[in-house]
Amino acid sequence: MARQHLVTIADHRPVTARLRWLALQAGDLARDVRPGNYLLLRCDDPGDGYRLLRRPLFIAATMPELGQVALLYEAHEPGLAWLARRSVGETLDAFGVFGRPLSLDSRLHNLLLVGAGAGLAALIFAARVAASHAAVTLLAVASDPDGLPPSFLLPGATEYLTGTGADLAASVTAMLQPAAGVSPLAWADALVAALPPDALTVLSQVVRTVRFRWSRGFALALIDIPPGCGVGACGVCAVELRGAACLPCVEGPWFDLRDIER
Amino acid sequence: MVKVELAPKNPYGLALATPVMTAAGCFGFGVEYERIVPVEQTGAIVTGSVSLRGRRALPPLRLIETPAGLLSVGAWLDPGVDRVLREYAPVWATWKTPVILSVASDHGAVAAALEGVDGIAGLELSFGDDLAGIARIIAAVRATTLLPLLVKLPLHRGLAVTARAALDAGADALTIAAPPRASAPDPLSGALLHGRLSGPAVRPLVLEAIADACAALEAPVVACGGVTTVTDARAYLAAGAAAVQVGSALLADPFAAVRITEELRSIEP
Repeated sequence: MARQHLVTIADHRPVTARLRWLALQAGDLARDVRPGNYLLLRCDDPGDGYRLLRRPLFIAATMPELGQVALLYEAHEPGLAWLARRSVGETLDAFGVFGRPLSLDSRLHNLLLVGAGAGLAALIFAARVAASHAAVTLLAVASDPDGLPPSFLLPGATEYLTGTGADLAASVTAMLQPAAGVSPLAWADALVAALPPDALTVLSQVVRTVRFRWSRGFALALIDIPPGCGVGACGVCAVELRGAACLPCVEGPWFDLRDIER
Repeated sequence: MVKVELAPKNPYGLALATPVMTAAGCFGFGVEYERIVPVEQTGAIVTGSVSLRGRRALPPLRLIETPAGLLSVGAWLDPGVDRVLREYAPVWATWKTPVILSVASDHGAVAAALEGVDGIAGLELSFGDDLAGIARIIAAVRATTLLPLLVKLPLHRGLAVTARAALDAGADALTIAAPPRASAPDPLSGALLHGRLSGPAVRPLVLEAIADACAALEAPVVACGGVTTVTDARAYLAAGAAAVQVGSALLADPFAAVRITEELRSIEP
């Protein structure tokens, strides 16, 4: 059940010129969070009433032994720029946990993660969880190298492939349909993606091209959550899936890629 | 804390345990927050606005932050009255907190659909900026249901005249004000977006309208506009409002209405 947490910043540092790592002291959260869970962070001073929307941030890691959870974000707008100015020891108002967790088959051998942007945090978390029982490959794309999470955030055994370019969909295509060699899609037992909508469309086309058979459940995709209520009250996150409107803030963020494709 | 009666002349009455309510929209239909926020500690829940058939959730509402305000572009979720009565009203019927159904269109038809339904303590009728014929619509709703009626009015010249006409047509109380029209650049594209502004930015405008309306009218007036703290609530109550509604502040702090209630209680036991 979601509730309000007043959490202390345990670590807050840039990991690239654009991305920041934020660890929160939150023992009750650290025990239970899963990939796909997100927090709604209040990003103004109490009583300011200036920024009225909480910022949704996916959890990138949990460290139960330290009682901490960690977030990865880019301060690309005023609310997150406010967050970027907060220091270790300060208290944040976090509301959550929201989001249905990612469910992966425990018999999984080869997991392929493909992502860009805010959803990469959830994929990093998925890599950390899956690395104990599966071979994990993370394919990350960004407009420039500073938008790519550094490899030290990933478990040591993770194969980490990166691509950069203004056209994220083209970068994904180039990496999944290489001119020479075998596509990582060919041997993956499961695909989990977090990409912008146009890149997800391209990813669907690539899956159909590379895979002989695309069974339901093979490919899951994260739909990003815009700032809003988190409980399905406002509808700002509404998307159409299989001909019906759905609310990723409560029904997602994970959906079968085949449903998104339609 | 003194109980508030928003419909003193209505046979059902509309008694609130505290003068702090949620405003239409930002708290959804209340059930979304049922397990998170102690809704029984608020004076009343005003639901999201419903129409007879509802509207598709797409394109989705957009919420744009402006200095001390929130621009709502598009419409909030409206599942239609049938779904509301089927899924939400049975839950509301178990609450001690009164639930007031917000109706933004098809007013008469929605009111007729409420016949014999438990869980709805009153209606809040809103009309956007088109105030032509609202007296006729209110009278038609009044003829359909005995439930307490709040009428939510926008800021406009002649507000007192419109308010008096609404009361004469059968309204029990007034809610001032509906969010005014406003525009802001799209943070993504820069294109000008048109919507409705809520939040602290509108508070001084609404406070003046509340003071004027309370001086001119004898019916209960509910203030709605930028309440985020107990200080804001007290300013409206001091100006004559019978109760206040908390709206956009609930997005930043879902507990805002409960917190303001508790702080009011500690100030005015």
